[in-house]
Amino acid sequence: MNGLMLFSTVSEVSILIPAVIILIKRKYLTAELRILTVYVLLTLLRNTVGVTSDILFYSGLKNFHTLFFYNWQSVLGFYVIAFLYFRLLQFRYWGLFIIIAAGVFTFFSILEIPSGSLTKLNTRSFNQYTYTASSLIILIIVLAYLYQLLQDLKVESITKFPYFWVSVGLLFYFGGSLFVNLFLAKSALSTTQITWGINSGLSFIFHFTVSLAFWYSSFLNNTPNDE
Amino acid sequence: MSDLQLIFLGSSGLLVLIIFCILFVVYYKKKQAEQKMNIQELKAEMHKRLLESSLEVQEVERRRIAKDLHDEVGAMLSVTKMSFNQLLKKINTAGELNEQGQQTKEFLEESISQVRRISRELVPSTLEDFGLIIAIDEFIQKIHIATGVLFIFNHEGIEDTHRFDNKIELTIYRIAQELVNNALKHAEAEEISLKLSVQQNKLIFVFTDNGKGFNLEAVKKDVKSGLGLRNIESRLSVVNGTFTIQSSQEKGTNTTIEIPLFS
Repeated sequence: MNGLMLFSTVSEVSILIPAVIILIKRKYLTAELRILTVYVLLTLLRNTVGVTSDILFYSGLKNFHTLFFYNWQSVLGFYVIAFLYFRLLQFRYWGLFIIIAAGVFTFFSILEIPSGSLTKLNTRSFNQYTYTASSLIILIIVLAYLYQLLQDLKVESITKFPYFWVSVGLLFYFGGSLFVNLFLAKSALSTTQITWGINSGLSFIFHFTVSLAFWYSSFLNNTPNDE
Repeated sequence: MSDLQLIFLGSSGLLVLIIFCILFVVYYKKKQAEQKMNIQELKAEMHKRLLESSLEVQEVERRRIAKDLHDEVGAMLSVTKMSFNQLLKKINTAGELNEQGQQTKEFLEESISQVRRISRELVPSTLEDFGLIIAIDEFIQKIHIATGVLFIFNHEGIEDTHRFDNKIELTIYRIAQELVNNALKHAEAEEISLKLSVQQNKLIFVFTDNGKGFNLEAVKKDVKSGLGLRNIESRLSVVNGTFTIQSSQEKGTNTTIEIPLFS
């Protein structure tokens, strides 16, 4: 196992950090943080499959592809995040935008079906259109939410506000993913390794910010909005 | 695009995101601080307006009571006195009745004079008609005649007929009344000095008495006796005025009031 693969495995395992914090702070979880919990559980499930596959591969027992799970996680994860921001964004036109965007996203997902990325368990196809579309849409939604926070100014302490950290994490994760998909799509071997490295780094950052969001869940009781 | 270029591009993007997040937090906190300041200013303004309207209501009510006293009670007492005079003429044969009648007449005269006095004190008509200097002068003269307390009123540089803003005139007049009342009632002062001057676009009113003085901190804490001070504070806040009091036991009291003049 080389250093990059080890880093990738560690970043996948790091989803356990928010999972543990969810268990600790379960009493304080608002409806929106419960929605985020669904996202964490989806990622946990995907990463469990990924890490198990890595272990089986390196112990020489079995080699199976896990891209099918990654593809499905990206599709379902998008709907979960979209639903989360559908609830957080108060301006009704943004709600409409999310519904339309979800429709567009579904269309892109359907386009992936012929490649088998969502239908074949041992697929080697990466649903690139879906990733790019979800990254773009989520970036727009997150920026809209940050703008809403600036307009409302209702949050007493922004750095202890869970949805701020969720938004920061999503901004890094999907901003980075968009960069990867746009610039590293047609990659040489060395670039593929960079892609893996960036993805792992972004996942790690995202898991960390989501952990912060759950950690600060108890502070939501002191803020008058978004609940 | 080479690997190095991609790494550079990716790192730059990451850096931009980090800077964006930091700037967001900084800007958010700045806007929040501005909002808090605006809210505080609005609250202070609202408090000031409330005080202003409450003082206005107080003055209107004083005016109404004064008018009722003068026009109705005063008039009724005058009529009663006239009627009683007629009655007195008819009973002047019986010595004892005559004496009692004279006494009742004196009571009536005293009542009429008291009603007139209260009515005048409730509404400082001299203040409205002739201004602050003449009104204070008239007020201290009356107190001097009634109590014998010596007054020194210095208003160097301000003409007798000079007029200030109505609110400022009423504020100073009412505060002067309050301070004179305190000096006579609580401090048992024998000499009171009032100084009115205009310096650097500010109206300065200095009130000094040679009374017993008081413990300022103790009075501030006491809800009942601190009422006068709070009243002064409230009145001054309406005209953006400030005041300082220096007092110590047996050494008299010195009160300085400053009100900005916006001409």
